[in-house]
Amino acid sequence: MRTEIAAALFMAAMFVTSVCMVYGGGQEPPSLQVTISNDILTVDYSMPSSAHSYPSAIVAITVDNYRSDDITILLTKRSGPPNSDPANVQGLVDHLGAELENIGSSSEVTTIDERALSSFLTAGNGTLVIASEINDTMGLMLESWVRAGGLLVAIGPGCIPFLSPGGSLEIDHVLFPYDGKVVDGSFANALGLRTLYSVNGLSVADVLSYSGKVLGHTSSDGKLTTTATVPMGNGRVLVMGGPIEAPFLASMEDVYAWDLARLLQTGAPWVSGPVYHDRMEVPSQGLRDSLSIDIGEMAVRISLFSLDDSHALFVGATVKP
Amino acid sequence: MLKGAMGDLKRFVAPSPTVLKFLIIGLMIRLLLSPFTSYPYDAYPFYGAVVGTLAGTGPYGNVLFTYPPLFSVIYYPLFWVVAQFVDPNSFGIFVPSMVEVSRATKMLVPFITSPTFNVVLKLPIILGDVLVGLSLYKIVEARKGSVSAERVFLIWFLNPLVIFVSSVHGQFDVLAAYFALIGVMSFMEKKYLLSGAFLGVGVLLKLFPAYLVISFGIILLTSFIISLRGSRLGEALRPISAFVAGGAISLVVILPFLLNSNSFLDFILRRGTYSSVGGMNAWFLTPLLGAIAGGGGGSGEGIPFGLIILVSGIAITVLVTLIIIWKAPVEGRPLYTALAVTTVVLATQSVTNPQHLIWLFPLMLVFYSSDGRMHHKMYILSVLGLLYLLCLQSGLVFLYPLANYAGWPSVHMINQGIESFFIGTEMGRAIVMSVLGGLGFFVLLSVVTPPKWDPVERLIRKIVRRGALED
Repeated sequence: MRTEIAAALFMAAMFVTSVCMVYGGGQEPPSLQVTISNDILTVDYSMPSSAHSYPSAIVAITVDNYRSDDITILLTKRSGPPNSDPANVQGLVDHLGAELENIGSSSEVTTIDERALSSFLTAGNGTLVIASEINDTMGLMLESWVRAGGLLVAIGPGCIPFLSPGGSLEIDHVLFPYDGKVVDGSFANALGLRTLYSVNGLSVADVLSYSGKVLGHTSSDGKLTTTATVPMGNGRVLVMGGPIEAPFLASMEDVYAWDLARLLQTGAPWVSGPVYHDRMEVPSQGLRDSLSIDIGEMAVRISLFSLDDSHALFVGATVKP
Repeated sequence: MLKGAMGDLKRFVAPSPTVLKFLIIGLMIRLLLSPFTSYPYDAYPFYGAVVGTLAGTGPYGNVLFTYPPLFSVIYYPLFWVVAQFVDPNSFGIFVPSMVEVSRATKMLVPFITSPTFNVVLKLPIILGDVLVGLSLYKIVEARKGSVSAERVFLIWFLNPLVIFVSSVHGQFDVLAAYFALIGVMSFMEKKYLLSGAFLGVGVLLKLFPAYLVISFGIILLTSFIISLRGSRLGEALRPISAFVAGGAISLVVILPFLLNSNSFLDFILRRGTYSSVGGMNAWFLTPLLGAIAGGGGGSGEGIPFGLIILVSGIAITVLVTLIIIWKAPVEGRPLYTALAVTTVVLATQSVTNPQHLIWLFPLMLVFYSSDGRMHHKMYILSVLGLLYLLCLQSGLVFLYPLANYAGWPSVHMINQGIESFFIGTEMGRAIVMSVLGGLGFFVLLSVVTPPKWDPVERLIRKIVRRGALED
């Protein structure tokens, strides 16, 4: 009889713990209030209290076309360079879906195979992630789709024909020599981007020559970056070093997903003007502050979020004068 | 009532002075080893589950934890308490200098968990070691007396592989093994509700007790069909319905997870189809074949036939159970079935890592009281398992917390040691892994071989006899 009582007590304790884990662990959300007066944007914001202090960021990005699309990821069975392995791409699907959910985004992640790619491209705008090689015919369709307003996330060298040598948006990919140092005050540091150690980096000179913007971490000589966004017609190409490969926390799907979720939600791929960013330490009792920005006639996407693993706080607002 | 319960607890924890003495010694060894050792590849998902739950996104929120949810439920209260005093951001640290070696082995994460994290994570696992040891004492004492019970306790609790897996590696197989053991023993005592509940809890830790559920379900189904001839339907249905009800009750512990979202099940099962193959089982040649083909992984990677092997495992379980029902006496069937099914599953599943041997050891020790061959096999499997773990990426991989938090040896030295071992000995290492895996497979098969045909036992006897003659 005592075994039965012990078993019942154990199960009851585990049930109560499960309830606490699933329904009781939520944190108080951050808040963001914006007002505009005479082209001056005032943002009043607050971050909740916690048992310990934690890192956070506030980012205001001038954008020309912010959209919060559902995200489509191309799944192929190709492996080996230049492709990211199919297991890693599937991993990106899982991680990106989870990251977006964690930060309260309504964007869903879906997959398509190569046979469905052309019908996807003819169906209109959206956000498409490609980490595998596609052929020249599909590359031409893809280029037209981007120019018409699509957002392409290209991961890895040699996958997209028009980004490769001889293409209309040729960006050189070189092995990325990261030295373990993060540049304080950089946009990547403020955003807490985690793809620190991508296998390949992108030529900063090439990115700038196409009027692009460096978003990711840079090598110590400043010549290479892990992530950049480049305008193309009415659309954008978010280029990431790639390919996705082990290990975790350096160049695998977990860090690509973390970065993509935050880049997409902050509107970074659509950047068209000045960017304000501040990385801050929220004290344990919480933080309440405000900032003012002269935005003129431009649309701005403002985001406030935590940067550590034990908080999942995010709030964003888009202001169109 | 309370006094009686305390007396029971005292008798359970300290059934004899010898047991108490070695319980304390074994615990001290474990607690000394646990803070400064870990296996980064496995520790990182546990870290992810802890901080994810603290963040309110749950253990599956960052898609790193791929086990059934119960282990995260067991350790979460401990971490919640610790997190009130210690900043969870200090539970581990990203170490850039480990990136290159992690890329080389593909079995490392450049992340080192802190001593506090390691101890808190390993406490429930060490408690599992204690519970299995004391339960084994109680089971064997009832069958063979206290001398045999003490021996069995010592063989278990001081076993180096058992200590290594719980206190150094930090894997929780022992908790599933504990619930499987008491589930099997409850079944033997015809406490079907309790058996179903315990085995169900085991499945919520690691999936392997599911094979025992299938097997015991078949035993009860055959009993039901036979008893239908002589008794009423309600009476005949009682054992199987109690067993099923017990299994259903166990689901209560994760009911909030099931009600909230079942996407974690999809994730766990889908990841299962990407499983690699290899280890101490029928696929022991994989490291060698991988090295010949130019692959760098330790257990063979990316061959997506995990699902096929899973289905085959279920078919083999059914077959083994039916053979035992046909051959074994009624009273011993559950124990025979549990031993045979667990052994065959270990020998044929896609990956059998050394920690998985812990599933089998408690059952072998229950058998040891009636079949003396079992402890020889357990010793051999323990040595093979330890060697396998140490040869995977060299034993240095377990010392990263010591290097990062105590300063010696340095992280750089460990990186270099692992790189030299892994890259410098690629083919030799692959051969050793395959040989160890093959030997493990061979010894596993001998567990279910009848005594008169048992080659391992014959070999041991020959060695012992030659030793005696030389003396």
